[in-house]
Amino acid sequence: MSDAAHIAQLVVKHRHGLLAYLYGVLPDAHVAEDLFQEVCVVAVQKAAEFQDGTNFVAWARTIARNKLREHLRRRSGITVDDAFFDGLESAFDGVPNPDVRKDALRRCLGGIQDRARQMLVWRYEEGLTAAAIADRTGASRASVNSLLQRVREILRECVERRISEARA
Amino acid sequence: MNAEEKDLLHRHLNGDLDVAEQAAFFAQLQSSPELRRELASLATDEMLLSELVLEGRTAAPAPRRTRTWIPGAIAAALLLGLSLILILGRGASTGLRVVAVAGAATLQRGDIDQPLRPGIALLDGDRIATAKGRATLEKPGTVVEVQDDTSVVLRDRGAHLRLEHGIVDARADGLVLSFELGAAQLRKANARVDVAPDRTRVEAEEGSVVVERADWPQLDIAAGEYARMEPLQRTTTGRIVRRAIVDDAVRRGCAFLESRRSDLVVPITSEKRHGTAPRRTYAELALLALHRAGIPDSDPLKAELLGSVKGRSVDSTYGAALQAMALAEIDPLAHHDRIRLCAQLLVDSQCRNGQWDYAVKLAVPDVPAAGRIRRRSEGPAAGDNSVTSYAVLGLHACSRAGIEIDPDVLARARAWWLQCQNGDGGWGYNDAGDAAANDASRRTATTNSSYGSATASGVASLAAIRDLQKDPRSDDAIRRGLQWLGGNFAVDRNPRKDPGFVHLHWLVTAARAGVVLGTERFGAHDWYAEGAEFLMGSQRPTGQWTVEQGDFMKAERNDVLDTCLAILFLRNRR
Repeated sequence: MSDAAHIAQLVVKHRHGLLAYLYGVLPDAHVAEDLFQEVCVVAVQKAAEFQDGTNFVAWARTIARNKLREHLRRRSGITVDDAFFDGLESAFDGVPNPDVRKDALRRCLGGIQDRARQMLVWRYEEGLTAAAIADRTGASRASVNSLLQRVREILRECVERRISEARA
Repeated sequence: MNAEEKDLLHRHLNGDLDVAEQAAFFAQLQSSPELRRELASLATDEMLLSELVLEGRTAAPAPRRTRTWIPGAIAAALLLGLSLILILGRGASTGLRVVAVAGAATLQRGDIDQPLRPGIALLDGDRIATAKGRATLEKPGTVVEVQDDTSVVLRDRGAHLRLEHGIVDARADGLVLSFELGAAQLRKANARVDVAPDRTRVEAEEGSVVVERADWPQLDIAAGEYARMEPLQRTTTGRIVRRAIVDDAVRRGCAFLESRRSDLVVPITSEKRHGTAPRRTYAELALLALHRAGIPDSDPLKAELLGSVKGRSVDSTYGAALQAMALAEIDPLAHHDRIRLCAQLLVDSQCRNGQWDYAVKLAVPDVPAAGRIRRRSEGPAAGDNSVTSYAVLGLHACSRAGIEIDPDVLARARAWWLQCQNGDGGWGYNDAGDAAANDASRRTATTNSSYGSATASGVASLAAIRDLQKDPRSDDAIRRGLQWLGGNFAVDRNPRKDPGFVHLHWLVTAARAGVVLGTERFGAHDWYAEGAEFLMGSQRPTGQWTVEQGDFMKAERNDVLDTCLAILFLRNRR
């Protein structure tokens, strides 16, 4: 298998972990996906530099770091240093395998009904910010922020309960 | 993590920070490992959530704002990987075809998830996952209904379905439904397999089913029987009540409630012990019963009851508790604020001895919009065990809806139940050891010696508190309570009481205890089958139940009350 195909395989395997990292810094699903694609391109271009047996995620994150830096600087003029990314990456290292959570989350999502589900569609499918959702619904930004926070908390509680039940 | 950090974190995830706030948030991230951990955890869920929302896309695709190019070589490499996955993942035809989908269901084929749609021909290796939806699959001689919140994988050209969790109903001959604990083979059968984390249940409505488990003898169950499997325990069997019969009884019960709709919202003056007697209606109870019966939210009576429940003040403990239970089951997010109000009323009204009395605090408090519901006042000195069990189950519902309850409130309630358990393992209406706590006005009917509904209340309450606090201190009390229930269980009366005395309240509370504890039996008694058979025999031709006898409940509209309770029992096993 060529280096490029091998890297493509690794990218597919670690897609969730890398996307979550990008999303943590730039919480917009479309932007995170775009940056992920750019990271893939660079990773495959630099495939020969990756040494088998070393930590692929750490290697790919160094590419992601540069993409994030560039995007932040261009979009909002914010600059962040390596210490910022070092701390963040070790926090992401402590997150359990996202694939395990996805099935539980899918099931929990079924319990989310109309109003909240619509909020999720606006936030994640259309990429609307809290302010844009507030404009669309006539609600206050504070109440949109509060509802999205509640949805997260309820889903997290549900996911953790399901995972612990499955392990019990 | 302080409240300000938490607020910034969530607003960051909502795309709500301006540039200055964003920079401040990044600075806080750099200095707080806890904040970083929380961000990592939430961002992971957000990313998955975003994928799931896009998989179940409901609106027109949003325009992509940027990025359209991927160099050809990279695209080719990714496509090659994807093609390999698809080719390797593609299985043989199962012959099964999707004929109906209600609600949301997903087909996972290889690494690709897509909405499940009627007409799709299914292949070996396909996984069907439903959340709030159902799917019907068919091939000649076989009908498979994949129920809500279920995940099933198709194998062996459709002769074998692997049930990962949830419920599948199947009508087939020879079909194998496997699960973690074993497998069930249908023989000209109409059967249900229900896989939960703690147990698997196989029911044969018609025909027979062969149940196999590694290292255990094979078992045949005939029409009208179930087999229940738990890890490391013998398979138990019992009889079922046919779902079609129960469904018909529930439907007729709902029609009766519909015919009495004005009685559902007429205020009744409740019992009085301390202070003013609270007023309540049957709206909360009827709302919960209709919801359990599967009545859609668009139903005019259900909508009217929901409006009535949310549109007036809550005076009684029964009302607050039942309202929390109903709203939490209907939609915990949409009704979050109202459930929080119920939780706050219950918490602020707890008696000093750990019980609850009939009334909740009348002054509607300013309920904090978020965070733990804390005790801010004390209720009266004492109440009774019946209303206390409703309050505890109401708080349990609030907690399961994501609202954190002051742990001291639950601990105080637990201490009360442990203190007033009788020596025989049962419970009475109050603490037999404390004459001052007796309710003099009711003493002739409600005794402090053990009886069925009070004991079921004690077991259900302690089990609900243990479910929330994972505290083993009540284990022994629950075990002894279950022994009492096993030794005294009856469906034709509230055990150790006169016939008709709060009879259906007993059955419903016993069912609650059974459901919270995940047990099918009290002693040798299969509580659901026995209770359901009693209710099938006692339903009147008009669809109502009126089982209550004697004067104790004379202020109630017992036909409405008993019909609601009967529906709650029949649909309590979910």
